[in-house]
Amino acid sequence: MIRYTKEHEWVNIEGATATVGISHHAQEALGDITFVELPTVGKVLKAGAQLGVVESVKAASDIYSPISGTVSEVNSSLDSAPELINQSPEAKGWICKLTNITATDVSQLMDEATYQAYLG
Amino acid sequence: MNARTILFDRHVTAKARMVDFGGWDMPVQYDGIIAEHNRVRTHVGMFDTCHMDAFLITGDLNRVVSQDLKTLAVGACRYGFLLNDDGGIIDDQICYRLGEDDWMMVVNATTAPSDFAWVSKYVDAKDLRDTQSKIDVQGPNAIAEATRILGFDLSDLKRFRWKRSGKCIISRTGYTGEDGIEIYAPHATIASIWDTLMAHGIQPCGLGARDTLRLEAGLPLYGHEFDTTTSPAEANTLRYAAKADDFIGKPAMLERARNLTEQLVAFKLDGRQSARNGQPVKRDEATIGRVTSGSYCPTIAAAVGFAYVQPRYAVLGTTFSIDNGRTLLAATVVEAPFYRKK
Repeated sequence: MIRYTKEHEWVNIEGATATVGISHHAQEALGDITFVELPTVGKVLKAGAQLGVVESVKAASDIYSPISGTVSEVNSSLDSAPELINQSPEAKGWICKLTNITATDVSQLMDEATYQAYLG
Repeated sequence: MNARTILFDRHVTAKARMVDFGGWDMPVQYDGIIAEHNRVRTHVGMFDTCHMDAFLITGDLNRVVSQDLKTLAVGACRYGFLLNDDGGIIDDQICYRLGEDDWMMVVNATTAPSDFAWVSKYVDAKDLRDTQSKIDVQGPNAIAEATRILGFDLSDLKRFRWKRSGKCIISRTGYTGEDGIEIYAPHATIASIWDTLMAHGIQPCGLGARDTLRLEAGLPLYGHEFDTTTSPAEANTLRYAAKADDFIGKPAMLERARNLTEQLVAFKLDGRQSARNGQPVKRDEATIGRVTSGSYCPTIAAAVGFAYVQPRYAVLGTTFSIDNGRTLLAATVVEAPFYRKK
């Protein structure tokens, strides 16, 4: 189940874990991504808390956690290849995985059709 | 409404991302800053630089500018500054010697009105804004491609020389650290040259790539490394203000050189994260300077920048941190340019 935030993060919930990244629209708006600040494994995040930073050539953009949970894994290939977010924002360009997620947070988020309508 | 260059509609058609640049609607990128940057480093790219301005000047300009115009031949051009009486930089510019007493001064977009007012106090100047435009064709293949596509004969055109071809003035100059030319011509001629180059596969590049290219090549940008509060002394550019003759701002500039309060340095960050204009430079909690430009640069694959720091820290190998509001980024003072063409 994939859901989107108004700030253009996505979260894919599979059972008790969730994968987080930024949307195709977000990577397109940012342009060439040159650096990703990943969260620390074990960090406990509330929904809406800052999770990391994505920098493009021209700008830096904060990334917020779409749901509450604990960071269980980060995509360390982004350290040397941040362009994976441009190339594959919703698959190879994932940012981190969360466990201990709070399922009720999901109702606040948009499904794909709603997100596409939100983008206009 | 913002000003638009003669090429505005073409940028929109090409789906460029348009931004405000000092009151001008300009393309920041077409297919991506890194792709555009790499194209200029490895092949050729073209830039809309019509927002820049040029003045036709008659008379004795030598006292108004920092570069030596007495030793400049007709057919050559030279880089220098317009300084105010305090030695502060009004603008950086290039003067083209068109004839014995005839000059074209090329200036930045945002400073053009104040430049014109300043210059007009001393010499007879005519603003070419309404009649002339400019594009840059840059890259290792720029000369070959401009020759092939536009039929220019550039075989004898050396660096910082210009020549006429039809309605164009072509100079072997640029702002990318690569070989290339700048083409000055009436608006309609520039538009038609742009279309011809496009039709032959020369791809346009935006201001985003222009900025990473100039930064990587160690070239300063007005409004960042230069402004009216800095002089060539602090900006490490006294070599462009070194003539024996007197010029406006020279005494103040030399006085500032004897009592430096800050100095421009080039720095390289340890990681890929960029420092940005305005961020404080720190050492042991104390602020010792400020960043003027910073970006990740694709060819050198590193985050680099310029900063003004207290003179005692303006020494190669000095380390300091840049505070981006979240983290302290470790940086080292290095030699500019960061990139030098082969």
